Amino acid sequence: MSSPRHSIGSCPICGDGLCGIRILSGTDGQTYPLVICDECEATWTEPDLSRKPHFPDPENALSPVDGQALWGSHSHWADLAECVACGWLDRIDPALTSHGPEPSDDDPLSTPPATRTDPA
Amino acid sequence: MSKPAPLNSLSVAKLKSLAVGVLIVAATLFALVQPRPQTTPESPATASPATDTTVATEIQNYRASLVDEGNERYRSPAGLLYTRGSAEGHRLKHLERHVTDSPNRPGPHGVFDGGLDGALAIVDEAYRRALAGQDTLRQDDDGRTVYTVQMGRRVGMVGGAEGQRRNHPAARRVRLVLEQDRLITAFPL
Repeated sequence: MSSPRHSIGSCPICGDGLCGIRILSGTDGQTYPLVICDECEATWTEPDLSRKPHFPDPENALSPVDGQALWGSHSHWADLAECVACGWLDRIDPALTSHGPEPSDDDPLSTPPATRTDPA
Repeated sequence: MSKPAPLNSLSVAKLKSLAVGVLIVAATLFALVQPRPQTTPESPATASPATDTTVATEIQNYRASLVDEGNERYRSPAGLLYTRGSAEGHRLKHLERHVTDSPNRPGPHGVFDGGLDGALAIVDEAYRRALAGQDTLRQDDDGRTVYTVQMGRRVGMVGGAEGQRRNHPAARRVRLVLEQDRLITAFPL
């Protein structure tokens, strides 16, 4: 799925983009979150859209944290459990939560994380 | 009251001639009102204004007008560059998201009229207007330029969950996000 499951707001740069929480696997094997606009790729390392974003190279978008590609098999849009794990649950705008045909992760937190289906 | 004159052979002949003439005229008229069989293999197309045909042809061919500059870079007639990038892998693929609705997508989702060819043509038109400073709002931020262009007509509609709530209003503006001449994203609103 190319659209975020959970977003913290609409993009202040392009207007219509969803600033979704994305999980990347670091080079050390640890995961970390970023906020990325799914339209213009404006990127934040903290869930605060009032801060100045990072704009990745349009042809080779890299993470400002460790230089890995933003899009690829090692990254995915965060599900609810991952939003909790990274401490950003309270930053989610529930009005922007995707309720599409993807496996739902809107269940209570005790439910196991949804099976990821998006390759990128 | 005088009695009518009796019919003689000459009157009968005249009547017969008159009847034959009437039959000939009737047959001729009948033949004229019947539909004629097609003699050409293709019927001529329904006439349409030359401008509509021209615009439709231009849009239909717009994808073909992109110039391949190599390395998966394509230059539009207006000068925009479509490159690799985005979650979809290429900016053309990303733009293609905006030719169909995503009703489950939270918030608005702009949908261009006319498929991908229509989107490319509209985006080029918006870019030309933006460069000319015509009905355009411009915002610059650290190398990125965001144009909001008034198109003066419908160019698409507002979809997504928000568009559905608002009964899919017409979109009459285009937002372009660029880095120099490289298109990052574009959508109608």
